[in-house]
Amino acid sequence: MVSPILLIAVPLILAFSVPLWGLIHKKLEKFVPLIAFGFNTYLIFRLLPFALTERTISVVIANIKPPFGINLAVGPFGLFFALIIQLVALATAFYLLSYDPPEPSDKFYMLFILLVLGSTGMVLTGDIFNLFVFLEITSISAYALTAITKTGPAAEAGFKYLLLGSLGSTLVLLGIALIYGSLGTLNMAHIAHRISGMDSRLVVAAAILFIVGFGVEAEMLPLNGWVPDAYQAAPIPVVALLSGAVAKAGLYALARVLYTLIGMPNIIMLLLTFGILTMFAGELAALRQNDIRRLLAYSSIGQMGMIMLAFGAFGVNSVFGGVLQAFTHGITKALLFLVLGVMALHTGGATDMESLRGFGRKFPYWSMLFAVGVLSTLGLPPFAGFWSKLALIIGVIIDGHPTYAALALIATFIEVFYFARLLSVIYSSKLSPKLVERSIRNTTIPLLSATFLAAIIIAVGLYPNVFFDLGDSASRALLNRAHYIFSIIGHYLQSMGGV
Amino acid sequence: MNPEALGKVIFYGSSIALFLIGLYIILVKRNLIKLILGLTFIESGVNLFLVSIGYVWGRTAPILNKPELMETPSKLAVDPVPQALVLTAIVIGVAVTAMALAIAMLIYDKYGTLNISKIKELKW
Repeated sequence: MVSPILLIAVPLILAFSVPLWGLIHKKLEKFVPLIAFGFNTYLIFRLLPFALTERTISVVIANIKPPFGINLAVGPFGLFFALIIQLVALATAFYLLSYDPPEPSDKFYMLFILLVLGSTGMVLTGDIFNLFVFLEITSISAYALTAITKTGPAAEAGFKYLLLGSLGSTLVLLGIALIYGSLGTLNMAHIAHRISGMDSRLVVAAAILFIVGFGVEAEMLPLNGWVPDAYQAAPIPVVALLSGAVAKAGLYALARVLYTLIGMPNIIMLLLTFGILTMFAGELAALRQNDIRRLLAYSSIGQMGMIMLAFGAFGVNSVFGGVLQAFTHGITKALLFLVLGVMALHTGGATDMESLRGFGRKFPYWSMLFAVGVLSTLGLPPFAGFWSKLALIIGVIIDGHPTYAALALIATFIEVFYFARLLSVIYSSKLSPKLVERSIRNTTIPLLSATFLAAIIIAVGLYPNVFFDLGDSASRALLNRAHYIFSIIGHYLQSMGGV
Repeated sequence: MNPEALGKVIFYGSSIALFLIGLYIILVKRNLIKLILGLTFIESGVNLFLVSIGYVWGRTAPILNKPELMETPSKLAVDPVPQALVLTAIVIGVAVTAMALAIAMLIYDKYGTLNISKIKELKW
């Protein structure tokens, strides 16, 4: 078997080698992300058969066995999220080939790789302090990439994100301090094994600190003030990664910490409340937006809320729906943003609805790709979103929360309203005056990368079996705490006598 | 009060105080530089808290430079793990502060002010 550690090591080396490639030829820089993520995607596909078996492997680093050394805990749940992140990153890296990066370009590519590397690390690590370090790698690169265009709004969005994000990660560190102070270990499996002996008030305090801290990245309600601004001001490929990689890694961390480490149903249920609030706040705010970037940002918040609701319902069926929805949401939002990036080229940068009126008549193929994304988000067959939304709603009902399933349905109806308005503007027969003939460079590369994402959505929609198998083993792995603990530190517990 | 308990009160008390001062600054102040200061206050509070968790009264630093320390480090030295964590956290904190100051410079460049209530989109 290939070693999962290469998923982190290879991009890390490549990220810091970007300026060297630039010395040889300036044009070589933009191929580095593609090489890194192409290699990672290959590795993930080599590891995936393994994810179907519901085993968690522990990858020992520096030959110090867990619970003492830092280890990677590569299980079906983490691999599923790593797959989402890599697919989005691969499509975006390909898109970058024809994208003019903001200067300095070598730092842009470097941060771009580090962002993906950090979120991949978050979903694979088995050590809670390591999780914090990867969270910081992800979020510091995300702050920098948000502000990298150096315009006023970008700087504001970057600062807002930085303030909330670093406050959040400091709270995560405080939570880690509480846990280490009581249990004396940082290994996640070891913490999970010992947590029942910890003062329950401290456990609740740590859990709340983790929810608040990771909630910033996962776009949870009181902490998502940065989302619309960052989505509006950051470069388009970065936005695709913010929803496809950063938000997913935050969600993974929330689920992993609450399910595996804390494992208290009452606390997991908190996610239900936060999820519902986030979902409605996002969807209702999206109704009022005229700028498509902001609309998609609020829609992303709404979708993340729906996924959190599914994770909060605390049952294998709803978690199954939640992981499938996380997959389709990541791929679909990346597709929508990449298409929007090309749309903005035709209007000279404007992304409000009026400037894009009638885009569909002029560019039928591009609008078709956009429509695929919209219809998949709404959950219509034959797209991937249909299966994930169906699984989510049925799962929440089976796990005994029909009211919450009804709320998710209501949120979907709100989505229909604003997406119908969006599509009717794009396919309007009147043409926006801004859509004049422009000399636009070749758009074959963006077209290929958007088609790649749309093809995933349609292929999963038509042949969902593999997708279901992956989601099934991912959700069962998340709920099986005892198995996680045993696969990481089983040998240690045996040597201590008693399992 | 014996010195050990007093030491604990001082360490934990001042880390909580630092944290609360930082939180107050972030919630109340309107100047970007002060907000960044508040952030570093919170970070220092958490770092101090982490170090005090690993501190054991009367023990020495976990640097094995004496023969008696080499023999029984677990009886003479404090817990080294929180100190390693804090070193990492300090480095991360410096990176975040540098990033924040760079963005604050950019904002001052574009808007000519550091007061967030005068910058339209920074209100929330």
